[in-house]
Amino acid sequence: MLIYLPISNTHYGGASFGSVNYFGYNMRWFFSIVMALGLSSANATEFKPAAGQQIILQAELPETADMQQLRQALMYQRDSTATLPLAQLYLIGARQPGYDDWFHQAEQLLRNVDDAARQGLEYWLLLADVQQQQHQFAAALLSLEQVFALQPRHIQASLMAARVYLALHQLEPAQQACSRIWQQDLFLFSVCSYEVAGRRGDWQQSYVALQQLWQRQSSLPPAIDIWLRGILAEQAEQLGLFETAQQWLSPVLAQAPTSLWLKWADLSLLLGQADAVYQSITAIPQRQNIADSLLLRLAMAEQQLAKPAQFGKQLGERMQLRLARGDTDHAADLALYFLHFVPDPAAAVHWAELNYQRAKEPDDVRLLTLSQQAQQQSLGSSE
Amino acid sequence: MKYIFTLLLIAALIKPALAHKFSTAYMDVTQQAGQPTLLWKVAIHDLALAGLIQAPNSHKVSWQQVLDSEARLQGYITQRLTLISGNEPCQLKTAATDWLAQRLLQDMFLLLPIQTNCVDSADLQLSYQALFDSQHSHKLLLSWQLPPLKANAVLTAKSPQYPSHKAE
Repeated sequence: MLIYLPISNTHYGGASFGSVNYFGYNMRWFFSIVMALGLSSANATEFKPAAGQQIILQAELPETADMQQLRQALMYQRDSTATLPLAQLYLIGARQPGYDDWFHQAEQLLRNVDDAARQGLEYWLLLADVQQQQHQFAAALLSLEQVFALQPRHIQASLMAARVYLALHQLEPAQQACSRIWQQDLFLFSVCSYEVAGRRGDWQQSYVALQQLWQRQSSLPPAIDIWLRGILAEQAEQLGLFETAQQWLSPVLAQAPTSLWLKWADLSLLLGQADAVYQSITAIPQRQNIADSLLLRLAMAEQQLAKPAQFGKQLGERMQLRLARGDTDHAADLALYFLHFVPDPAAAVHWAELNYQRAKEPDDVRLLTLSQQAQQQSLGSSE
Repeated sequence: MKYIFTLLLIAALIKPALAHKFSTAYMDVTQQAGQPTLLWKVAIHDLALAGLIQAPNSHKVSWQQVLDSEARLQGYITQRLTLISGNEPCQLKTAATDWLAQRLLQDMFLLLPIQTNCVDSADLQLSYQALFDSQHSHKLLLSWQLPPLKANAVLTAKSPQYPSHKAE
């Protein structure tokens, strides 16, 4: 029996959902928007604060001395000499788990820079970084072109371009981007090229070569060590060496950016170490502010440990809101949500496909494959 | 080996994890005594980021500082929210004495009832242009409960009106 729902009474202006001619999705979306609006109208928590009552808007993130100094400078002189370095520090800091709000601070600063600053390559480099973090890869490449127009072999821009092309699985342009810098820095050129070679499928050779490169460096600066370990972990994982992959990341986890935390958590969950994931993520100092993707891994660990669904509940609320908004960003989180929390293989495939339209890294391919397999199993069992 | 690059170089080379948070506001549109009534629920953090509430920092604000923004918010509402009845814009007015606070998910929201004065309560259209310029991810979840049309909608920077087409 087909149940009719008043779907036509739920409207969304964006093209993405409006074009989805799929009954299950419209139905789910209808319920999500109703639930999200219902959540907003739960009046139990409405209150009128006393005039002097302080309202916490967000957890205060501990700024470094450099940030404080630049922010002070901005109060007196609002020009790019303080704005761009501060935006840069915020962007670096925003990669740590729980520090996402600094990303918005950086965005805000960049939005307000003067015309003179917009002529310089630092501005375009920072803008490209903001854009790639939002998965606006085409825009990021255009911004990097502005840098290349000023400095054709700019190291940072070349490596960032390679990173963007890797996200799009455009391997030839990625290698060309690496090759821009071989005369300036052979080490960086090598790391960049081995990462591309891995993505071409030469996982074994690249892994061995990169490992040797890493071993030859007696004292790598921490940031470079983390970058290299991230690539080595991916390559080890592709070779099926899950424990080794995890071991590349474990020693640097405390300093690692969110994306490497996600990789570490996925590997740990795969290895049956849910308790380590649960303990490590709950111990993150800014845990209240962690990204949905990390909350999802925490909720998965909670689920595997059969604990009461405290984080699972938080995750469910955030996902309902996402569905109600009809966002296509963060589609990977929704695919995982529909694989692990509210099993719905068709929904998982839908979101995994949307994610794959944006990003085509090994994790994105794997997510799509897993979702398709779940859907096939579901169809098989229902026949 | 010379490391002539900044930390950004390395940070930017690691796969990004989409570090941005969504900005969502809510609006209930109902009818009272023959006039539409709006209830706008907006994150105080978003208002502070847009410079509409003067706070010493983005971490905390006193309720008095929120109340002190009444004139600024009234002006903002006049500029960014439009309710049209027929071809005539309705008057929109909010009073800080009616404001409440509510925690939704992780954020503290300001609840602003907006009283309207429309020449006619039929053929209404809402246009929402708030916060899109300061929060690129901003969206409004709208609950439209004006008989005979009862519906939910999502208003975005690209689609800021409800109903999207006025009845002829």
